[in-house]
Amino acid sequence: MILWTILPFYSLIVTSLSVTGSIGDLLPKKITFAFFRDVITNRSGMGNYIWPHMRNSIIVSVITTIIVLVLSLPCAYGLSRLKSKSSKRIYMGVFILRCLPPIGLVIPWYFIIKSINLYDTYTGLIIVYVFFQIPLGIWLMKGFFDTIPIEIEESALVDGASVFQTFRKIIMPLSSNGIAVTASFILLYVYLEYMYASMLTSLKTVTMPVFIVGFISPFEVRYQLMLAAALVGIIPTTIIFILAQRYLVSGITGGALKQ
Amino acid sequence: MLFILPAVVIVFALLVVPFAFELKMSFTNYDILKKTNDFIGLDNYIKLFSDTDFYLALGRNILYVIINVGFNFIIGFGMAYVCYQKFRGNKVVRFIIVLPMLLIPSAAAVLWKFLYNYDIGVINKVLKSIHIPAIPFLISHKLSLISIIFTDIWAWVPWMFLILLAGMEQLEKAPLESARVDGVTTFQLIIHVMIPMMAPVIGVALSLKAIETFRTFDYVWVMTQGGPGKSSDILSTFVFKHAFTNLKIGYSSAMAIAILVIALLLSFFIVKRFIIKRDVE
Repeated sequence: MILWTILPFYSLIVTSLSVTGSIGDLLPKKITFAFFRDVITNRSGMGNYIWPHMRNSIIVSVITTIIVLVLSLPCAYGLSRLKSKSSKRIYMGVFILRCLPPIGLVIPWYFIIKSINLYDTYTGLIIVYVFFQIPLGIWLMKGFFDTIPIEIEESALVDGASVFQTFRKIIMPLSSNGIAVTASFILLYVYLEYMYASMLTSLKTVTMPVFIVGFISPFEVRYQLMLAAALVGIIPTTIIFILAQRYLVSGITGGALKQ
Repeated sequence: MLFILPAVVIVFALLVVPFAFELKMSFTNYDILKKTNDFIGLDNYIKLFSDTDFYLALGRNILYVIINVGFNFIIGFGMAYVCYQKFRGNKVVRFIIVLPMLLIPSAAAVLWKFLYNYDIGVINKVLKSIHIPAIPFLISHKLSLISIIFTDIWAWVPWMFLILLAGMEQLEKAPLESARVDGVTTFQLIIHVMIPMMAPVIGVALSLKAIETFRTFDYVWVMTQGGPGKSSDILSTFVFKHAFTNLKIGYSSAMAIAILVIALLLSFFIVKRFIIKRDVE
């Protein structure tokens, strides 16, 4: 069972260290750190340098996450507290939106982003990602808000706090765990996204997933560099996972699984 | 209501604009290579109804989802059951199991594209060293789709594992122990006691997994681009190829709309069945 996971990872590491002649061997005769050096430093100057792409990925995912949180937190809160029919309908619409396959809108998005001159810019990518991640943000956060007993707010309201104050001073601190999980999920989804990133970027804002696949060219596949980059790319996800580990499962299933 | 509106309005605007644009394009024969862009009414949709390749892609997509969800569940459940037991090094085992999920999907795809490689891939090199002929994983019509599915399962089993493990750890211990005392086998215990007790978790996990898998694109596109031939085309790669390789924008827009409708119906069903029901209760 452990081998199932470990073997591919083992060859991932070994291959990124192998010299070109012994690629694919389980026990390479010679190992070299040259490919790693090419990826994490700008020495070779051949566009193999990982940092600009890592930076693009981080900028896009962090900004997207902030915008999504700002928009979806109040919305999720409202949906969680309003028990009207329309609020239920909106919630259902949000969930269905989350289920729709991204391929369904990639064609118009490509033309729209091009026509408003946002192709290959952070803004273009972020607009699209915000659109796709808001439903996820609302859905996850509503699940967390639902677990906060309404009595706390009622007593705050009686004491003369406005609805907005209650939300900011009482609800936000109480749901900080939920916010952390939601943020890490949105970060992850944006960091891992490939299709839109490959369609909407070409030079300046290429993100990690597109960068890694970029080592495949019609003429050759530079496996060692590609796998070295893949290994470096695992670092941010691992950090997020370790930070969010305790809450991760409640995040995956969101409001769907109440205890 | 003031809280809800901003997000809803923005999402709605960002949904309606591209959708309307796509709908408009789906009524044209917009084709960048042929340089045509005229209104042709419903012709694209009529053509789509008789497009066998589209149905085949849909069929493969469904097959992809079923195999994926099934094996994810079996393997994920097995792993979760093992980690549910107490033993030394449990935490380490859990972390190792989760590792594939942390790899960027397109990176997992290139890793497996390499492992599967006919000449220099690790798997075939090992097979050769024990004198078994090499297997053409990604370059044969028969094996390409199943090889990709295997990669997808490898990469996303951790997700299923995490949910099922959490579900198991919330189970009450008493019924499990009394069943043990009655002398049932582990297999019976799982089938007759644990799975029924975990039914709500399993329902949610499987339906979310099905939704996620239905959207797959990265693995297929990076590993084979739907090839060889059309043997591993699923809906997303099929549309993508028509739109951005063949540049038949009008026709691919019609396909994309059809896919949205299919996904809408599917997710509506899943929402009704598994997700909203509990909220209403």
